[in-house]
Amino acid sequence: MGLSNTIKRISLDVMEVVKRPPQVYPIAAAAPIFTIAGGPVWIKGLFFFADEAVDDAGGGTTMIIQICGVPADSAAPTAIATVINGICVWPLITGVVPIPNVLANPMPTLLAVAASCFGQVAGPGDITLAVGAASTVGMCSFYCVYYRMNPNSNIEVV
Amino acid sequence: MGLGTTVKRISLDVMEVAIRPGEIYLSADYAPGNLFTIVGGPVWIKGLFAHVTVALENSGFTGAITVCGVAMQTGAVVLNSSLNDIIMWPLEATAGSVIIPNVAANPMPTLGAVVNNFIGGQLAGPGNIALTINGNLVSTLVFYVVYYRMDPNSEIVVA
Repeated sequence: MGLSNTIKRISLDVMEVVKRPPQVYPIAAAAPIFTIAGGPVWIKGLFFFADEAVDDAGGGTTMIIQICGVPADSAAPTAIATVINGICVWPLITGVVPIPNVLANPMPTLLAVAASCFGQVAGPGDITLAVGAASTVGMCSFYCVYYRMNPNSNIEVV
Repeated sequence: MGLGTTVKRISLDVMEVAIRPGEIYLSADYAPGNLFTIVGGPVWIKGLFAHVTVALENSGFTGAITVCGVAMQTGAVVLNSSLNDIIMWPLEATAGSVIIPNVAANPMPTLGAVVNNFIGGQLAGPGNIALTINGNLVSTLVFYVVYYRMDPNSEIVVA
């Protein structure tokens, strides 16, 4: 097997982490935060880190995330208030709520594992975020942890 | 994709192990006291354990650990263990997720943690990993944290 093939094969074993730079998220309908391109990926985790207190003013900010149109949470607006340095983890499976506001937070969430979800395979498309009720007060950074299923697969920040 | 980007991406896939050198833990310093500090960004902690390296740990005193203030077990347990034993932390606090001391070969994650659906690891941002003991231990313990960085700047350093 040539070097090129070896590198291609090894590269698929690399756990990838894509980070969306910190920002304040205003109220918005579903809009892409990441895009899956080039082929399928195996998403192992999706969370935000609160660079600042997110919605600590009682604004009741809610979030809903979809992967290629498939709900990655309960599909109902979920309050995501989180203290600075806190983490909010998405379950990646429909019908299960995300877990916000914890300084040390299991990934996958305990509820996701109880629902037998250990990761999500998805092809090209968008990972979208809908923000409701109120804009976030502080900035947060979204992270997506994944493996590429094809040498051309990738998740990019939108 | 350039070489720099490639190296950064691959580097996040490296399983990191932070090792705190052997120490006899005294309650004056650890009630609580910091073992490690998370800096630079979030980490995904996959394991946390201590290796008993010098003598029988038979003080009869208990230990418990928090990560960024969050309990990593249901409650403190007596850490008594034989030489070379592993004391394993469950990394979460649901009932049944208890610290397992006094075993020479110890599952990670603990069986109790897995029963409680804890299979992946614990995400945490910058903060401290702190130990609380309720009396002076007598053996030397070496603490290990196994983790992945979620950001090129993330790291766990010995406190």
